[in-house]
Amino acid sequence: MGAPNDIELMLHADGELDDRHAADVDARLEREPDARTKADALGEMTELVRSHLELAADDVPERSFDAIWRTIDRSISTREADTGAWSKFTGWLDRHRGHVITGAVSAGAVAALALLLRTTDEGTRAPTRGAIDVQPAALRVAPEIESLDTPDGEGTVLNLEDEDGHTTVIWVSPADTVEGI
Amino acid sequence: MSYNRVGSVAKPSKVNIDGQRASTKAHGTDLDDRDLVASAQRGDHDAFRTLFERYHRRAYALAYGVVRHQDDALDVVQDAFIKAHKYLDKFEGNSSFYTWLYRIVMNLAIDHLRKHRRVKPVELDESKLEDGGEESLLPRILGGNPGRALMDKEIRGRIDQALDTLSENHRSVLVMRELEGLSYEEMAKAMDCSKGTIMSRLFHARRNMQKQLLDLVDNPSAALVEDLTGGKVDDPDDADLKERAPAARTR
Repeated sequence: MGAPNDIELMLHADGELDDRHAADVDARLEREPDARTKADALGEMTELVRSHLELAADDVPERSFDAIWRTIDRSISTREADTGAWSKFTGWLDRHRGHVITGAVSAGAVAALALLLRTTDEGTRAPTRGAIDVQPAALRVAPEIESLDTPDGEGTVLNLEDEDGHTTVIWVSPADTVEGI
Repeated sequence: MSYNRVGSVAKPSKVNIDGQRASTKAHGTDLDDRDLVASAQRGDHDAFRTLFERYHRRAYALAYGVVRHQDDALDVVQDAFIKAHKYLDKFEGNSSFYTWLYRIVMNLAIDHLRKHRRVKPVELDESKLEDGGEESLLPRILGGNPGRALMDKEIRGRIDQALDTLSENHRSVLVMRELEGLSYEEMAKAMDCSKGTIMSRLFHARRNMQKQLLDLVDNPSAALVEDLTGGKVDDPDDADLKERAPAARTR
């Protein structure tokens, strides 16, 4: 067997070969100094890249990591507070599930009853729904209290109740009055 | 995970061998991740803070390797830890906490790239993976001394440039493999593609990285030669490097 090829060298360096194949590559590397140099170069680059990145991490001042920890800590605390409030609510709900259901059903029943009664009441009222149901005082039909006999005519005594209080009106109509004259 | 590699480069890192930063917080480092996760799931903020202390730089290295901008990488790390905390209840411990976290980081980093598209993706034909010729792996990079090479700003700058020239997919695969030591199968799951595609992307990514870095070594500045050799040439690789330098620099 000749020198291991590049793929074999890489798989060997990365520990991806099975034991038998790895032993075979080891044996061939013993006999092939050029292949051994390539394998060493692979290892060297691994060390270069790894150590370079670790040194890059060491170049970052500790205060930068302190700052990101503070952000992490704030984020955790905020989430825990939110989660805590929700947990309390759901916990309370779990403990009082029976009462909550009974209460909800009762409230629903009362609301339905109120709605039903309101609808019935509205059905008995004026059909012109939405119209203003207040008439000016002058147009009101005043209650007739009693009639009054007067000479040459007739009179009517009216008692009115409005925002100004109680008013009594004596209305006299002459007998010889002709409509339109 | 790859942080406990044998023969790793001695580098002036503040991160310990487990990728964990010493913590002065109440939980310290004596508790393992599982205990910390369990405490955090019960609402213990300090436990989650300790997990953050342990992994924020490692998560940053991963994010930075993919998004290539410091502020963007910090944003990704921040969002990743917020998301991790949000879904911590759903984490059942089937993998390590960090394995779970890096998946979140990786997904957010890739999402970030897709949203911002700062780097124009250049894809090679990933269905082809031929051995030899122009696309073969190269036998050397920096004379076998990556530790010393990393002390040089020019080389680190060139590594950055080389990473920037890779397409998003190639860079993501390279970073996952070199930084985290993920298997091809794990990477295929993370990137929702086949193992063959991962192998192809990784091969091309490495080949391109090698090519970029060798340009530097084949045409080294005098300053780089002096930085790499320390002014003394007692290593055959260094001697070769010095011969290729245009002029020696006097300090």
